Amino acid sequence: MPHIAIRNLNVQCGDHQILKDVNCDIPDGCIVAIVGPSGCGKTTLLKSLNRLLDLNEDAKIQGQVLLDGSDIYGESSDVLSLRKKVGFMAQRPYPLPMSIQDNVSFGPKIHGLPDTSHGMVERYLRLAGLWEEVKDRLDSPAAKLSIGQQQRLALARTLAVEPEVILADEPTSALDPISVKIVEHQFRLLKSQYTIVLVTHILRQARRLADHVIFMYSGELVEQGPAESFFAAPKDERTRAYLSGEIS
Amino acid sequence: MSVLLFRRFKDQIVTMSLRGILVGVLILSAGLLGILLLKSAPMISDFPLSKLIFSAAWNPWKGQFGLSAFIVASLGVAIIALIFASPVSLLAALYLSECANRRLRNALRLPIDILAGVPSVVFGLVGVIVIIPSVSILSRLCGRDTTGYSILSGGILLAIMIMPYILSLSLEVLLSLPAEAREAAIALGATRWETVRHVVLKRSVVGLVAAVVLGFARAFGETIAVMMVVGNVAKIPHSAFDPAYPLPALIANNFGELMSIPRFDSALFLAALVLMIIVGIFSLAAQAVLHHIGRI
Ligand SMILES: Nc1ncnc2c1ncn2[C@@H]1O[C@H](COP(=O)(O)OP(=O)(O)OP(=O)(O)O)[C@@H](O)[C@H]1O
Ligand SMILES: [Mg+2]
Repeated sequence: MPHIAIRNLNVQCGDHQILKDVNCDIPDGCIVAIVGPSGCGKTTLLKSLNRLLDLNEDAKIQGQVLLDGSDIYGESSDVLSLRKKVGFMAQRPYPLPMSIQDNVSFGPKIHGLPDTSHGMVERYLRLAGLWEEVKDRLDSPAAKLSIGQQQRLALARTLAVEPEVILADEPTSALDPISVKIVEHQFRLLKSQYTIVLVTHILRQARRLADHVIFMYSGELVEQGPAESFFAAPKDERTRAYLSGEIS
Repeated sequence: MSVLLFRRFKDQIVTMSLRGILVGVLILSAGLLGILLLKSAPMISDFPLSKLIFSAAWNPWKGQFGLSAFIVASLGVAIIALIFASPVSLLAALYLSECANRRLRNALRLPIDILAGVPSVVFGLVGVIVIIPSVSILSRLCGRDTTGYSILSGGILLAIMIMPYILSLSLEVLLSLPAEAREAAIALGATRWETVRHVVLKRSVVGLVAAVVLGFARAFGETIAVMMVVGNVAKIPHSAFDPAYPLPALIANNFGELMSIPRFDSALFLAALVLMIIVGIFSLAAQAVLHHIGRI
């Protein structure tokens, strides 16, 4: 399992400093939750970890993100294998314009993985808790799924490329309570094999799932620590205010 | 209560006026078609349609009105134009939307749009002094000796004319795709080309086909510029170096003249009708293709 370390990460869009000197070590083999009010830079931080931020022409990125000691922004880093290793689930699901089945097998196919079979598709759809709902229409366009189904399809799609790290941006924001339970359960099962970084708005979800919590506030990493101590004894004033619901 | 009523009223007004405008547009188009039908009716009733459309004998003073040479010429120049213009403009649009940075893209957008709006007679003039001699030289290299006034010159000229037009339209289409679409594939580790192929093109195909169809319609209906370089000889061309006489040129060159010849004006209206119908068929065919793609 790879180890992620963020060193002096600054992200700027035009005049707007989105991330301010973020430093942290993401412990591997557990679930890390990034919490914080809307617009504080959670998505940006997550996207910086697999260089999706590169797509944004305005974003100026400074600092280092070390994956097992080597800087992903360094010269020798290969962005395609990085993104295969570090999977990303977007805040808003976007089904690829193809069938449900092809959505799952797309990643394995482009990476030339040995197994692109129907069985593989089934396995990952089951993992994401979507199989039962779609098993009879695997060939129909993925865009016809409901938003919640699309979100779970995105999870299946992400898992299918066999990443080692999963970055998930509010992966349950469009799900009903039962699907949330299924997906959260999957994350708990997955964490023995993956490093999982999860952005969430919902403090209760962070309490339920996270082993480690990072609190962001207007672009700064304010506080981080093991979930227990983070929730029981926050050190920073702003964390306390956030946890008590005074800022949101 | 009154506020609610007023809002409903406004809503209805807007709906009704939009509907009215749509009906107006439809009536105008129907009227256009009606006039063409009416004016070409004498032709259609006097001669079998197959003879009018498939015969190449154009001798109005002898009462022969075969349009096929003109139809072939029109299709010829438009298809040559499309063959040259559409790959180039689609690839250029893809480059600008997927690879170029925003500075380059924004720097080029204005000149492209200006080029797309240049009056065709300007292209025609440049065509006469540049394309005609070039095609003449080319024909000599190919073992023929021609003046250069040919269906090939017309096609090349039209290609240059519709290139910025198709480019501009298809760039709009590509840029209207949300960033999430590309992100979804890129996040899985897809390369730029894989993303283009499996996501961008698939999502934009409707718009891109529409851009090409509009380009075709523009090329097919273009009159002045083509007239200046195509030679205007009413014979079916047998090679790209042969001169030809497209439908719009026929109409523009002859309407108002030679009207003493019986049925002549009716023949020209029929030519216009054929022009319109072919563009219509092309649009329908494109729609059928899109429908087929949409089902996959
Ligand atoms: N492409 C962009 N260009 C300029 N500013 C941006 C861009 N993307 C995000 N921002 C700004 O960066 C800041 C952080 O955005 P980000 O999406 O990371 O927030 P977030 O914490 O994920 O919020 P939310 O919880 O609402 O998803 C916001 O102020 C936003 O306006
Ligand atoms: Mg976000």
